[in-house]
Amino acid sequence: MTWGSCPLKSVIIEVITLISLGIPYIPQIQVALTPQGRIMTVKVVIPTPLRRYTANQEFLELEGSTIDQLLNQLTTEYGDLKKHLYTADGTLRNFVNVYVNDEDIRHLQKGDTPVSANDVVSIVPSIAGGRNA
Amino acid sequence: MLNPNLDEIQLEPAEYERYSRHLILPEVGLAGQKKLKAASVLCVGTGGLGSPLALYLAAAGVGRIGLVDFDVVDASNLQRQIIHSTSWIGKPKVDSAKHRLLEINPYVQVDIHETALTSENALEIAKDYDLIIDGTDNFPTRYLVNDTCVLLGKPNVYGSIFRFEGQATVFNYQDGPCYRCLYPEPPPPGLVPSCAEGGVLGILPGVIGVIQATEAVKIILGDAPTLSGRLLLYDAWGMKFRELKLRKNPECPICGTHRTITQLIDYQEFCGITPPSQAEKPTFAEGTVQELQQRLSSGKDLILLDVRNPHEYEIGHIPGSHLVPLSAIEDGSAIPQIRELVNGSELWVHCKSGMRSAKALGILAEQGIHGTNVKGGILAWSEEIDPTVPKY
Repeated sequence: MTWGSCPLKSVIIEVITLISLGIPYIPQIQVALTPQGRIMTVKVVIPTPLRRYTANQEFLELEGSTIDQLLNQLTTEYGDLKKHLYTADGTLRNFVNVYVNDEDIRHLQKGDTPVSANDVVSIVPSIAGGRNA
Repeated sequence: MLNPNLDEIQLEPAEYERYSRHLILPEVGLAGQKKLKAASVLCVGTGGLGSPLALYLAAAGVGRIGLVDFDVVDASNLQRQIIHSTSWIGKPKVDSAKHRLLEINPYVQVDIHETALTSENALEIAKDYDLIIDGTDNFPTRYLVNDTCVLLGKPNVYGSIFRFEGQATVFNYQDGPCYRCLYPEPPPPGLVPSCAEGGVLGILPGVIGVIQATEAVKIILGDAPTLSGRLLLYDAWGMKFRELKLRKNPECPICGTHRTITQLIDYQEFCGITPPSQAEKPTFAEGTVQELQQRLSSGKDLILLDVRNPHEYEIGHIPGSHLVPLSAIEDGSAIPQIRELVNGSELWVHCKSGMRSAKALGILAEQGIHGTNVKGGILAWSEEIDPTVPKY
């Protein structure tokens, strides 16, 4: 193989040029996703009061493309969480708010709100805090 | 008064020196300092949140500060309630706080309300203040403070804490959302871990309380961007701040378009808290620490369960007790172990003060395991039987 036909020629030249200019080389990373029914993981932040039900984990990487799918996986994996997040008839409790990034799902599409790989989902329950009983 | 006629407010000569660092700050200046002097702020609670925020409001020169609290200073408060000092243990918190505030700044007026805030007195107390700061520690009072502010049209500067996490925002300000827009309903009692199991990092309410004081001062100064419409979350352990968007709920029963709440309600009932007289009778027996000691020393076949957490057990425990944390009884994992342990013996259960052990006995009764609750828990044991077991 000659230098002229080397498939990495352009990359090597780019790297050498960037190095000579003092710029670090950062390759473009492409995440492979299947076109249909793609499975991705979304970061879910567990609040302090509920961490005792998730083996003290602050973040969980869960699979799903909507909030309902994520929370379903969450409560399947951590069964004790279910009664804290849902009422007996299966609706999300009124003192547990769920956010996709900084937006409340009540103002999006509630449980049907779509999520993608870069989103951060937060569960934020009400806290009253203070006195020791 | 917010937005007062500045010509009618005069600073005394000594105040110019005291507030010098404000006066040379363009965003405050003489006009801002006069606004602070004309303003009145009601602090509901002089505990973990109320302590730091009241100290800063007094230092900043807020003209009139109201303090609501029914409690007395306890030694266990001093880890975080920095307005109170050791010499004030056993005395009313409002007196302790007023004394400290006037020592910091004799140019402010401190009005005290030595009472719990209730549906009967809240409107009457709050109506004479420009804004209200919520430094309470329970859900019924939080909804009461919110509804009072909405009904009176006053801003509600909110802060709340749990273990290492805090929340802060401004409710009901410039047509922004209220607490009910954020959380329409409180959690039923017993579903969220109680503070007795929770604890709190002493510095955490300091950070949240000072954020509340900052927001209060900015509302008084006007023009500044506030936390209205944003919920600030603070994680002291990870040392992270985040913020979430907060929107007005058009369906909100008190500030929405179709209002169904037009006066203060029964907040204990709203939060599902039934008075003890109407509560269901306990399904287990109760015994005193003296009775427990008698039984232990008589060599009777007795199993004593301690349902506190391991780090509480480490602080001190009753000799011969078996540590089984309440959480392991709640999730059922410890039931077989307890059944084996009891095996025909008499069972007594205790915790710190008797609440968690009552809960544990309720769950055990459903499993056919019956026992006696130790009234007053290990605190009573320390007080009446063995003072070498530390109280905490």
